[in-house]
Amino acid sequence: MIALLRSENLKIFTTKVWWAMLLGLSGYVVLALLVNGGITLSDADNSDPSFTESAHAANLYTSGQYFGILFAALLGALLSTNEYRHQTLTSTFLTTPNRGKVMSAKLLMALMWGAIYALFATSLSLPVGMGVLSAADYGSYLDDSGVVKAIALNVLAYGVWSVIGFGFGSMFRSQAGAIVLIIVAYFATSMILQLLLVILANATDHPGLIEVYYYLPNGATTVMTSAGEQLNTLGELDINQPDWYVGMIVLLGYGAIAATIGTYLTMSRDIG
Amino acid sequence: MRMQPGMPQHVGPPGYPQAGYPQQPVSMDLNPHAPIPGRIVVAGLSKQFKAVRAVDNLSFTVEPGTVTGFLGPNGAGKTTTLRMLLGLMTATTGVATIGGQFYANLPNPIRIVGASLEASSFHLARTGRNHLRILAAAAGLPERRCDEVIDMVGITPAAKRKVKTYSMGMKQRLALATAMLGDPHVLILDEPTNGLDPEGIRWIRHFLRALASQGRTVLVSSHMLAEVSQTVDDVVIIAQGRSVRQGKVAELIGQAHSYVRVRTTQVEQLMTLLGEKAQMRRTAANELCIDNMPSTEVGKIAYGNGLEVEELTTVQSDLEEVFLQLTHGGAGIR
Repeated sequence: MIALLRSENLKIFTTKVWWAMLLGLSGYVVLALLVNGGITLSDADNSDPSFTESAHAANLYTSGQYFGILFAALLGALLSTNEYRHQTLTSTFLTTPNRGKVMSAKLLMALMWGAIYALFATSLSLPVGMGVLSAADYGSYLDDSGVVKAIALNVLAYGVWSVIGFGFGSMFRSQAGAIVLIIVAYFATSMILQLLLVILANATDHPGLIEVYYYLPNGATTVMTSAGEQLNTLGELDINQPDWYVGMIVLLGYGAIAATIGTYLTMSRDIG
Repeated sequence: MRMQPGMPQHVGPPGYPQAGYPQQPVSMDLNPHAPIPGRIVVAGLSKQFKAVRAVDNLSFTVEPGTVTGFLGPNGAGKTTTLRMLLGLMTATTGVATIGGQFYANLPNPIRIVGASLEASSFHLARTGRNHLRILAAAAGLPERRCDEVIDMVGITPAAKRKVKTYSMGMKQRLALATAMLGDPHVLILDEPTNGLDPEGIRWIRHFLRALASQGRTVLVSSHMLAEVSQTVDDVVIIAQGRSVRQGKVAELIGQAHSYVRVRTTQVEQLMTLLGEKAQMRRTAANELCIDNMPSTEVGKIAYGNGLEVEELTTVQSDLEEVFLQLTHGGAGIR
C-alpha cells in the first residue's frame, strides 16, 4: 500500500495540475479575504444579530471555502479522469491488478490533497484573519473551541469534497464531462436549489423546507464549519440549523457514496 | 553471449534464473497437466461487445523460448484478446492463463509478465523516465531499474524529456522499456513495430530474438505479417475474432507461390486457347493470372496464335498475399 501511495503521489508531482490549481485557489482565497474582511470591519460594533464575534472569526479563518471546496472537487476529478484521458490506467492496472487496492490508494491521495489545499488556504487566511479581527477590536478567537473546530473541519471538508470529485470522475471517465458536471451540479445545489427552497418555504409557509438545504453537500459543509449562530433567520421565518456534527455526518456520507460508486464501477468495467 | 548495449540483459530483480529459463530439474513423475512456467494458454476465449463478437472461441498456446506472432487485420480482435489475457477485460467465455495462472492472480505481475498495449498510452506532459518511475514505485522496484531499461532500449538522451516530444519510434521504445521494467520472462507486446522505420524494425527483431534465446516467452501482435515474419517462429493468425491459421512461420512461407500475369486486350481468346487444364483468374478486363503454367508456355501459346500481348510476367506471391488470403482480404471493419 505504501508503494502504491508513493506511485500515486509521483503521478501528481510529475504533472503541473496540482500547482496550477493551487495558484487559482490562492487567487480566490485572497479575493474571499477581501470580502470577508470587509464584512467584519463594517460590523466592528457587532450590530449584526446573525453574526456573533466567533462567527466572524470562523468566517474569516475559513475564507475561500465556497470556491475552495469546488477546487478540491475538481482536483479529485482530475486525479481520476487523467488516467482515462491519457490511457495510463492500463499500465496502472497491469502493474497492480488488484483494482480495489489501487482505488483505495487513489482515494487516500484525493483526501490528502484536498486537505493540503485547505491547509494552504488556511495559511493565507489565518494571518490575514487575525489582522482583520484585531483591526475590528475583536479577539483572535484562536482559543475558542468552536472556531478551532471550524478551522479543523474546514480541512476535512476540502478532503471530502476532493473524494466526491474523485468519485464523480471515476463514474464518468470523460475529463471534460466530469468537470462540467461537477461545476453545474455544484451551483445547482448551492444556489439554484437553495433559492427554490426559500421561495417554496415562503409560498407554503413551511420554513422547514429551507432546512433541506443543510442536507445537501454544500449546506452540510456550511453547517459543519460554522461556529455559533449564523444566518438562522431569514426574513420572518425561523430556521433551525442542525448541529455541526450532523453536517459532518451528512458530508462524509456523500463522500462515501461517491467513493463507493466510483470504486465499484472501476473494479467491474473493462479497461480498453 | 557477450552482452551489447541495446540488447536485453538479465539485470532485474534477484531470484530469477539466468538465461535459459525455464530449466526445471527433470522429475521422474512428470505430471502432464502441470502448468509450464511462462507458457501462455488461451482456451475457448470469446468476447461479446453488444452486437459484435470481437473474439470468437479462440484457442492457442505460446511456448517459452519462442517468439510467436499474433496476427490479423485491424479490428480482428487481437488487442481484445491480449486485454483479456492481461485481466483488463472480462472474457465472455473461456480462459486465458500465463504459467497456469490468471494474470490478475499473479503476486507482483510485472516481474513475471511484461506487457505493452498501444504505444500511445503515456501522459504526454510526463517525461519518459517519470512514466517508468511511477510504475517502478508501484511494483517496489528500485529507481535505477528505470535507467537500466531506458539504456536497454536506447532512449537515454530523451529520458528526461516530455513524451510529447517523442517520435513514434521513441514511444515504441519507451513502451518496450515499460514491458522490460520487471525483467519478466513473458513478454506481450501489442504492435511493437507500428510506426517504426526499417532500422527500428531491424533493431526490435534482434531485441526480441535475444529475449527468446534467453528462454523467455515472447508474444507480439501485428497487422503486418511481413514486418514480423523474420522475427517470429510461430504464428497465430486471426480474422473476425476467429483463428484462421496456427503453426510455424516456415510452413506459411512454403505456401507462398508464383503465378504468371498476362496483360492483353484479347483476354477471352487467350482463355479459350489455354483450355481447361489451366488454373486461371481474370483479375481485370485486360489482365489474366495463371497459376499452374510457366511463363514460357503461356508465351508460346499467345505468340503462336498471334495474340497481342502487352505484358507477360512471373509474379512471386509473398507472405503478405498469403496473409491476405487467409484473412479474407483484411475484412477487419465490423
